[in-house]
Amino acid sequence: MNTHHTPSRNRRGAAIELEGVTKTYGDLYAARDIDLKIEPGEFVTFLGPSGSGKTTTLNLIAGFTSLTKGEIRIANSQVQDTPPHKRNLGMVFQSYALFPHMTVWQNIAFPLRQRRIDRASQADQIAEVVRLVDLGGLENRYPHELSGGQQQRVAIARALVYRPNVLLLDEPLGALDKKLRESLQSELRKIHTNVGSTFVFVTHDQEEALSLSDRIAIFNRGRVEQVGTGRELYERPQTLFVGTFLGDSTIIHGTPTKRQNDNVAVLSFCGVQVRVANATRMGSMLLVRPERLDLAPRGEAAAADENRIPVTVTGRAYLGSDWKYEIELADGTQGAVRLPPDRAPYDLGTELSLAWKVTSGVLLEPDETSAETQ
Amino acid sequence: MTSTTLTQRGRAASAARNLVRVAKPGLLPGLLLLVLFFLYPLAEMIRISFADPQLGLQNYSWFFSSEVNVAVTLRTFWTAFAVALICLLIAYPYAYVMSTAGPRLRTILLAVVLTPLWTSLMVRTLAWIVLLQDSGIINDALEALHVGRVPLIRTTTGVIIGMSQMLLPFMVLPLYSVMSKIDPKYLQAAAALGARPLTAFFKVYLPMTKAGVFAGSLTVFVLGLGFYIIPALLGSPRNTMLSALIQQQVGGLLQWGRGSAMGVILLVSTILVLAICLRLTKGVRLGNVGGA
Repeated sequence: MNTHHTPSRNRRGAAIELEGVTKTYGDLYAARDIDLKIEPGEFVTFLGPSGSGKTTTLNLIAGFTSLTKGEIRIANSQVQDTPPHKRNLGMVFQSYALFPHMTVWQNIAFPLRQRRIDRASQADQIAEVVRLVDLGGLENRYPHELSGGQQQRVAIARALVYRPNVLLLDEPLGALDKKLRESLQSELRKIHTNVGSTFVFVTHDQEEALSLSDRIAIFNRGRVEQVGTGRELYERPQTLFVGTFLGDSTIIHGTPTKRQNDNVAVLSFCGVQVRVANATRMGSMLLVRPERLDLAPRGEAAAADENRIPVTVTGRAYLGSDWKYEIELADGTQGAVRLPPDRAPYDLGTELSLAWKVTSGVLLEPDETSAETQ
Repeated sequence: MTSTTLTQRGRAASAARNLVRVAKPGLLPGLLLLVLFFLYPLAEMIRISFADPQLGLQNYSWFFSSEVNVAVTLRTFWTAFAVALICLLIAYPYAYVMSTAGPRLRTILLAVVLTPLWTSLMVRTLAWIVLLQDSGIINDALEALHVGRVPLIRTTTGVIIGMSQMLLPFMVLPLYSVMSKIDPKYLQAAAALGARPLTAFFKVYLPMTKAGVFAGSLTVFVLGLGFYIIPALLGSPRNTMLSALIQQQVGGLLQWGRGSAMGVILLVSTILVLAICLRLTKGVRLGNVGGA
């Protein structure tokens, strides 16, 4: 990635601020009261199911769609009334949108020509960006002569060559196969470090979001449900939607009974007392990640910092890195447990205890729109 | 994707081969019809042009020695060219609106384009005679707008107006076919990259519709070259076109040799124009017009 090659890089990413951003189509809210602050140079991913408003929000930032209400500021200046060609952003599309009648070189030169940059500088800048995305030797090809991965590199080069301080990427890797997607992901990360622009990335692929982003904004029904690092979102989801959308989980739906003064909440689940430590608020649903759960023989005594509830094994799969068990709780709810691969397997139908540390779960309230189980 | 790198000719050849393989027995009736009613008469016309009344080039030397003939031929080409240009200027924005419209408006616009095709040519031409009269609706309107009356009927202008209306669908349909396949993301990309709307149109959109522009223009131009009824009814003997001249030689003067020679000259010059256009559009994928 040519780290030895360091041209003048005094450029920095721009901050993007959304305030009360709303877009309606008739009675339909495509984006609703979105408040979001993206730091200069940050890599932020908009993650959500299709129709959740993530692409709409990206199009609002790009200027392809006009706002119904609210304010968008890029590098501290309001842009909601600026046409897209004057916003000086980079944009990469899932369909690449390379101009089919232009060669790779002409495609990359296009934005430079719009900026009336002289030919010598054009050549320098194109050469630099071609090196950055590793496209050397393909300059005179036409887009249809390139593979999908190469086309997307050209699209990225074209969007970066004029050094925009913001790069918007709308599911750029969605059309590529898994292997290519993964290699381009790590390359994108490197490119981001290299150019220092603010990257806003839209995807519905949670793994992609987790592996790329500094922070992730989870979209649902036109709203941002939560913004945070991947770890924060996974470990401390604030809504049931976020908890169930990102990763697998087992949900224990109980009745809140009391909350002790040392932030320990107690939930009653099918006659068993379940304790939750670090409960900053009360809730009826306890979400625990599969790798935080353990299975133990029935009747064994629980440790002091542990919860145990009876479960039955309903499914089992060996995944190489671990065992994945499907379990059924006493109230019929299905859940998932991941155990180390060297553990002796349990048979289907075995009655066991589900065990986890009191510090391992998050208490949540049911919401009207929980995600479909992924 | 790989097929796009094939040459035009290779593509056409392989398409033809595929066609033969897929539909061999089904092709027979059509092939028979073509041989019987197209190839045979064509060959016969070429033969007569050299052999009537006697073997030799006399029909051709007669054609080129007559100033009227050459003038009419030039006028024919000029008229067809003007019609193609006018159709293009009208059809391009029309097809664009069609390709961006919602399903309802699109259906209406399509119906409006196709209606003339479903109406008899004679009826439409007679309607134009009424409209283009010196005291017709158009001239009344022009006078009311203080433009003054313009001679339309029995002029080349009148012929061009009538022909443009008849041939408009042949321009709109291939343009629409190409435009409807263009992802609006291309224009968004151009805008994001800093192109003003006009630049985006000329540098990105227009080149991507080139195939439709050429297909439509060629169709209209070639069809326009052979128009007979409209020039006869809307024009006058002073601005006659080649087809009328051929009719005069064959139907009026029974000069089959001369008429055939004119037919051959029209055919050859049409092929010449087509060849030049294909050369100019090398690299344009006319295959994109599929479905037009």
